Amino acid sequence: MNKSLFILTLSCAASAVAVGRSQSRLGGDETDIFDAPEVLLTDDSPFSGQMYPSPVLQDLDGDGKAELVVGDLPGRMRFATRKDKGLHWSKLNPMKSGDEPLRLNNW
Amino acid sequence: MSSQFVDFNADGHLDFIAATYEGTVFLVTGSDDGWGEPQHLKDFKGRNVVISLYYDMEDNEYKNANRSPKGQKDSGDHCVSATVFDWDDDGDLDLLLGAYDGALYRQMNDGKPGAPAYTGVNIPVEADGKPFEMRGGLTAARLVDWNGDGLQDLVCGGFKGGVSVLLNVGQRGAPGFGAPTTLIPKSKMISGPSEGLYVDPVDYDGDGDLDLLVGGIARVPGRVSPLSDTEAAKLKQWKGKLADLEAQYEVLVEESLEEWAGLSKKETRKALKELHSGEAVQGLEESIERFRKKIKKLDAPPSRESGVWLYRRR
Repeated sequence: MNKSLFILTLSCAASAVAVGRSQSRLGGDETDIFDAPEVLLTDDSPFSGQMYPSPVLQDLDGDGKAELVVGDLPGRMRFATRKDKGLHWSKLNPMKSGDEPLRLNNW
Repeated sequence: MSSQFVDFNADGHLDFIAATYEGTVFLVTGSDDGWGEPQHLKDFKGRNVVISLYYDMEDNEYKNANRSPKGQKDSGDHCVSATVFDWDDDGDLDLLLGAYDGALYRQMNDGKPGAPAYTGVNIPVEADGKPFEMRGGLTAARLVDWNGDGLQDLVCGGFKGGVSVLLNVGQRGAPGFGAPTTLIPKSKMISGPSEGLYVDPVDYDGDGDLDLLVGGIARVPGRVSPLSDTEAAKLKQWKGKLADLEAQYEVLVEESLEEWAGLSKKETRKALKELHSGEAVQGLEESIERFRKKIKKLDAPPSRESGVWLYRRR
């Protein structure tokens, strides 16, 4: 590559980065960076029948493996353990305070 | 109800915080004995942390508490999510409170790690120089270094669909957020959630980049493929049978009500109970249910179903 072409290429690359950053600052669209959504399974079924599930991956027991914690609209906190490296999780179990399932008061 | 796991009280154990539709923020502390009871997070005056609207459990009604900066009018906003973040980089955890209608507020902590002192004043978080508002409502905001520049960015989910990231274009101790960039568009597509998107940005597959784990509600379409001639004929026949059965049921109830015209309310309730447990009604109800199920298989209406989805980064 001759020197002028190299500078032109570098300049274009720098402009592209600048435009990208500018778009990020100003908002925009990055919807093409993900594959189509895949459904996670609990006990081999979708996480259906729940009111507004909110998932969080978190290692609850300190074994180095993240559990899938799912909160919901009624204020329940439940978790599942991972069954494979893919999309399969165990059935949901309640997080407990003492012997009682944890439930945060809703209205 | 989105939760954030963090060592809130700096005792070396994982705790978590979350807000509910009560409009308040809960703290659940962890210890060697497990999780404690949920407690309301309080400000330095001992008041429950709220944005404005909250449900008073004693008076059994919604109320407003103006916690806007002095001189500003009450936002009236309803806190439904909470996360902690050391906004000013002074070593303690400040609060980010998300409002149902889409706004986001910060409440500073004048205390220290393990001994918080929240100011009780909610300051709107800005994006691109103006108060941020997630159109269609904000389920929850989560903090993550999305673009790998060492600063915490905000990833926000929408009640009416969509996920956006607000990049932190400020600096450590003085965050500033740019305009939202769409990561998941608002969509009525059936391949993923379209309502109530709660998002956790996380490297799910361990390939070194951030994926999105999203809980929400998807639209499940009714039957989309056309019926065959045989199916159409069956459906017509079953709908006719169902109409006959429902008419029989109605006649039975109307005749009974006429017969019971002189009875007291108590006697009517007793008679109704007896009628309901009788063979005639039981048989009719079972038949009606059977035909409804058969019809639903061929003529399924659209519905909504919850789930958790993985948006894997390419």
